[in-house]
Amino acid sequence: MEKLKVLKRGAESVIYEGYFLGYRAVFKERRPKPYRDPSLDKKINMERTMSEAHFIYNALKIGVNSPAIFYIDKENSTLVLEYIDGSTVREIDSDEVTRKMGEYIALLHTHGIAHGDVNPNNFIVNREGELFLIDFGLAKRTDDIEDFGTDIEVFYRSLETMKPDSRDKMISAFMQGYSNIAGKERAELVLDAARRIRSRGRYVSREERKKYVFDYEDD
Amino acid sequence: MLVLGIESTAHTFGVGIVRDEEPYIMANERDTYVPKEGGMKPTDLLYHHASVAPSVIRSALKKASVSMKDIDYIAFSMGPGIGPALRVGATVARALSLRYGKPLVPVNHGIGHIEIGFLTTKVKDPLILYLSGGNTQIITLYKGRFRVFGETLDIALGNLMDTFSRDAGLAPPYIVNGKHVIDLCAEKGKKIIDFPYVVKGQDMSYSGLLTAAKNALKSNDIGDVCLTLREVAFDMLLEATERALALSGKREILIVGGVAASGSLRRKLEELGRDWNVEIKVVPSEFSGDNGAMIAYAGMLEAKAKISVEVEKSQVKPRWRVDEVEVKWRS
Repeated sequence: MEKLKVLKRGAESVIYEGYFLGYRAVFKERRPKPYRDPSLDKKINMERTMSEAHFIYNALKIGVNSPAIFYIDKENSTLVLEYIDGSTVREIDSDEVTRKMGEYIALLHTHGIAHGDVNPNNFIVNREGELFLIDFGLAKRTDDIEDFGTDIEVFYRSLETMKPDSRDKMISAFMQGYSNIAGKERAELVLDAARRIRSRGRYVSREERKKYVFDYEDD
Repeated sequence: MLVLGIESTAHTFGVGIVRDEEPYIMANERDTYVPKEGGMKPTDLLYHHASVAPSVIRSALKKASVSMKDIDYIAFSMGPGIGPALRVGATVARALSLRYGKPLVPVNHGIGHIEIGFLTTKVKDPLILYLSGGNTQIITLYKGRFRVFGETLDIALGNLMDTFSRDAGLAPPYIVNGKHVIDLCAEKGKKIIDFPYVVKGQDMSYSGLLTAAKNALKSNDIGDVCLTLREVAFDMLLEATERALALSGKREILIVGGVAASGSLRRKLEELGRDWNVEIKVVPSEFSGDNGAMIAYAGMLEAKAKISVEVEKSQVKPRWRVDEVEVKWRS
């Protein structure tokens, strides 16, 4: 087991590239955050590491490509995962890939899992053109349509900052893939939940808000 | 070029005067409404602002040693904010515009905060945290717009702190010796309680935390509740900030808005800054809370980019988001 070099410093973890029993691997380590209360920090890091492992395993079981787990180091909040050689969707623009992304998220949702951080950086296409979904650090088990809507809303928002020009095209391909798996009716419900969540945000236009919030007070 | 700016989105009626060269800010006068108890009632704000408006304008002109005829543009905060409060500022601005024949410039309040931050801290390409009583947003400038990277899905950070302090009987006053009462109360806290920690992608949600904190008062030491509330609320924001840093690759963080004055938040952010090797720049306290200078300054930038509004079309926008504004002066 050896960590070679830092691949990426993510928001809540450091990703190293290295080898595990001869296999090329990534090490995802949730390091203590200096600004956080130590007891709260330890609790959050350990919980997220264990829960991430749990959700990767469940994703694989239902046919959502995700890196295989080699090893879980609970004490150091570290996951050792299969290395995926490819590039993230942030650098790719393909309707086919975007549709497949929608299919993956719909598969998770129909099995009662919300991913929690759907954005182009968390999808990787490998050299063979296979799509992988990564980073289950914020995933949760749920049957609440609000959580599924949040996935869509978070994805939409990430496109606004990462790919503002292809946002609408991507959302429509994504929802196409989503309804391939979940069905048209379900896809509409989830999209509606996403719009409702958006309408609760601050400073949403009066017209938009009125559509969704019935007890809205006119000012 | 001389611009007079009027701020009146919430509790503060402020008037600033700026010119388009160093040192830019010539006057920054204000009068802030403080309710004796409870929150701000919109009609009380209206009466307060309407009654102080003439004297605040006069003292700003006096401070800058100019008269109305020297002014070239009248800028005002057109939104977002509390409707009745906004309307006072807008009415005063329209009256001045018509009486003295000066063009009217509409300013987004959030952009006022951001631009005064750029001016006073000399940042170049920062990740922006806009934190105040009514706003909690993580913003980046990208392709001619201030894009909202992440934000609160319900109540704002300042609102969370103030509402809790009030309901727990700690406030008013909210600030004692330069510290928020939550910080003073947290100093007595010893342990962290189990509170909801809700980060959704780049966004945060604070309303559940407020409810949990209020409920926890029944069976916990108030010091522990304050400590946990503050730690969890700030940690959620900092985690979302780290996400934005990781994705945007920015090397500077600019903090603007009233909550920028919080010492405990600043300490946490400085630790985060050291960890990520990014610089933390905080807007000076005289410009962190709502003020007229920031509206005048942003109005000056807009006037130079030929942005103005006719009096007939100058209706206030209580829900005007920063990302709806085309930032012509920066593209």
